[in-house]
Amino acid sequence: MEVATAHSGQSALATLRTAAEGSRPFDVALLDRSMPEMDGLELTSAIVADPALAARLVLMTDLGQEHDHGTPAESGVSAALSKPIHREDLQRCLRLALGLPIADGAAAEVTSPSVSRSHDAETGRLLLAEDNLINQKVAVAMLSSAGYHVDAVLNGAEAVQAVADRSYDAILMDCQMPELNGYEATARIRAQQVGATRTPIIAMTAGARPEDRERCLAAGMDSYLAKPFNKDALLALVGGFINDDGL
Amino acid sequence: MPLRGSTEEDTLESAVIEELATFGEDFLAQLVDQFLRETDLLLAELRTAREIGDHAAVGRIAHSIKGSSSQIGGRGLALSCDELEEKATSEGVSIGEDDLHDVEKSYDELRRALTRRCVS
Repeated sequence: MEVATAHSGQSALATLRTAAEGSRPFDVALLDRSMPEMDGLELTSAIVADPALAARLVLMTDLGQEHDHGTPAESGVSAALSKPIHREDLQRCLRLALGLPIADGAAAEVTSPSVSRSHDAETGRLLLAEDNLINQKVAVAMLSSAGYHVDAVLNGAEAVQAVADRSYDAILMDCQMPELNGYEATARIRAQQVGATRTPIIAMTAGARPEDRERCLAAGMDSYLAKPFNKDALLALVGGFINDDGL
Repeated sequence: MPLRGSTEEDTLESAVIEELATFGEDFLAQLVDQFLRETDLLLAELRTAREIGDHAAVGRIAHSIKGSSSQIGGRGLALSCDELEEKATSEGVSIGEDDLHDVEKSYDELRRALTRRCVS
């Protein structure tokens, strides 16, 4: 399976058109409902309006937005997927969009090279909040190779919602993100978890000064990983929290 | 942030890129392709932001390119962007054509190094 990513609606349209012009159109487009400038619904309309773009569409929505795009038939969307995204739901939606049979326990046909290796060795569920798609992709590859199941979100607001929706063994939190930065997201998560299990939060930041570390800890984060990070450093830090209960 | 030099290792850290290759050559090729496409767009946005004097946007875009380039081993580009981000977030410091030229030159070098690595 070939996968390409785009960081905005306009960029997605350009990517789809380039592929179509090269006689290699995409089969499926996964669209975020909430994007700045051109949101997922506007992007859906633009794709549907261009007959050269034959991609079937899966719309990823925030909680509570599941039904505000009309019925699939009305909007041109083949399937809708509520965030946070889970692997099984994503597979089901992709199969639905592609017109493939959906069966419980169906073989994982939709996997990236990075996650396919992790299937038998899953050791914990992590939330990764990182707006930089390159860094997100690298972190997911590193963590998945060690057997972690990773849910990735693009900003602090999505991270807060994801933590409200389900429990995680640890959270990796970029500090500089749009909408809600990592410090504010951490504060909200800590406020949500008063009296409940405290999920370890590991800051990820390019700031290397002592005051950067202090700010992370003051915001309620438990540890700190400087960017750029390598696989050994990332896994050692995460493993410390997962295996030793935060020690 | 490491010091900038002019060797191939200063442009692209081999240990970093080879660690990424352990996740598969296809993974690396897709990652590099995505990095180049995104950075092309960001550099165009960076130039526009400088022209209209939007220092906040210059700093934000430089930070973004710094983050992704450093994570894939692009040491020289990361350093150029770090310097630009520092200027953009400092009061009373102007950002000139030379500052952008440094970033674009570092990116050209990194693009060539990544392309060489992915076709070799």
